[in-house]
Amino acid sequence: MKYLLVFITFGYLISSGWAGNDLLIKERIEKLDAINKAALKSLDVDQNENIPEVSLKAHVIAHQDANKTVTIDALELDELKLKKDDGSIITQRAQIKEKKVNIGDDSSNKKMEKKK
Amino acid sequence: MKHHYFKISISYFALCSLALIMLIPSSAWAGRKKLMSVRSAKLIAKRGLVESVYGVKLRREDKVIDVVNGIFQATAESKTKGRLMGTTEDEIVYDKEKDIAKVSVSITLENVSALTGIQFPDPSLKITRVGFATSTPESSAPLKAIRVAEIDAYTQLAEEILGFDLESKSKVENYILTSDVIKSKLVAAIFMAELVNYGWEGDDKDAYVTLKINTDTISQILGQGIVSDGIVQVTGYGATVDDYVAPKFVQAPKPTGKKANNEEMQEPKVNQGGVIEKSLDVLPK
Repeated sequence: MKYLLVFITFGYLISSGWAGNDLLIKERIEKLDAINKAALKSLDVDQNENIPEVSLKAHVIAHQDANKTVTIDALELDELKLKKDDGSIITQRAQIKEKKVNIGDDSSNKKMEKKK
Repeated sequence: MKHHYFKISISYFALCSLALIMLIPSSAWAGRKKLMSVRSAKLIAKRGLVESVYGVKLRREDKVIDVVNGIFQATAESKTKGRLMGTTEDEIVYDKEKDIAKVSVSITLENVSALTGIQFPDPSLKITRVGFATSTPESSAPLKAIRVAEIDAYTQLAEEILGFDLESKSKVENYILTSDVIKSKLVAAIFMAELVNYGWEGDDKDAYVTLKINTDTISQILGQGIVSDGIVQVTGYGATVDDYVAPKFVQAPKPTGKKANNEEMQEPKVNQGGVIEKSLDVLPK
């Protein structure tokens, strides 16, 4: 019985040593969030209380460096919709941006903050 | 006292018999296990060569349903097909204890030219790929993770070189982010990826695979420019176990115009679906 317990404990320790996908998923979410923010920045969109709704559809070529800074290398806009606080909607289509826009790790972690 | 020793002897005999029963079949199967694992590792390594030489078709879809709370769904698929000739098995290693085989195979660019018709500046260079395999289910987790890392690296290369479709929608109400959805979709095929490094990192045992592509060579082969120039190198990761628990999606309450510190809004309440609505301490500090 004692040996069985030792065997089970050892097996558990080995299996619990394997890493899970939780951290990898968090990193992927952060990367996609940073790419999205950088894409909006490259289109000069600044979401705030005057533009409460933003929707974007685009083909993006982007990369992330070792410091987790995301760079948009190219962006082909399919559709950008901005809904303003007065209810009006601005739509942009078929725009190609080739300028490089960087967005750092800090900004990728910042969520919408309350402006005072 | 004699009776006590007799009982211990019986127990010892039973334990030894059990150990023998467990040992005999495993030693009898060891040879076949080795052959199966080595054969599988050879095929996996050669699949890597086919993916490098002929290319790999990729499909990846990520959906971040709630960026703030980290609700995420993702799928990735790969597919390849091709005929190989003139490959060399550089190294075959078998770990009998874990029943894990490792095989390195390579092909010269001269042979790739013969197969594909593509001409390379230095045909003496070779592409090397490594395959791991086991026929023991208990040893398979880290090997599955390394394939996940390989596919992750392929898709990252495709995202950086060819790009992907991004779709996002975010909504702010009364200075509060009430909805934030990001979707990415990649459908691409890439080839000439070279293996740089692979392994399992630190104590947490995440598998990693580093791949690189020389986009200048690809541009020359395709006869058209590529946005990324020079060497593009990425590292993909794979996990050994699924410990991700998706947080429950709780729709942000519709603003009522009342201030956030209003007691009525802070009161936790349970709706019909059994979801407890209360303030969550999830925002980054």
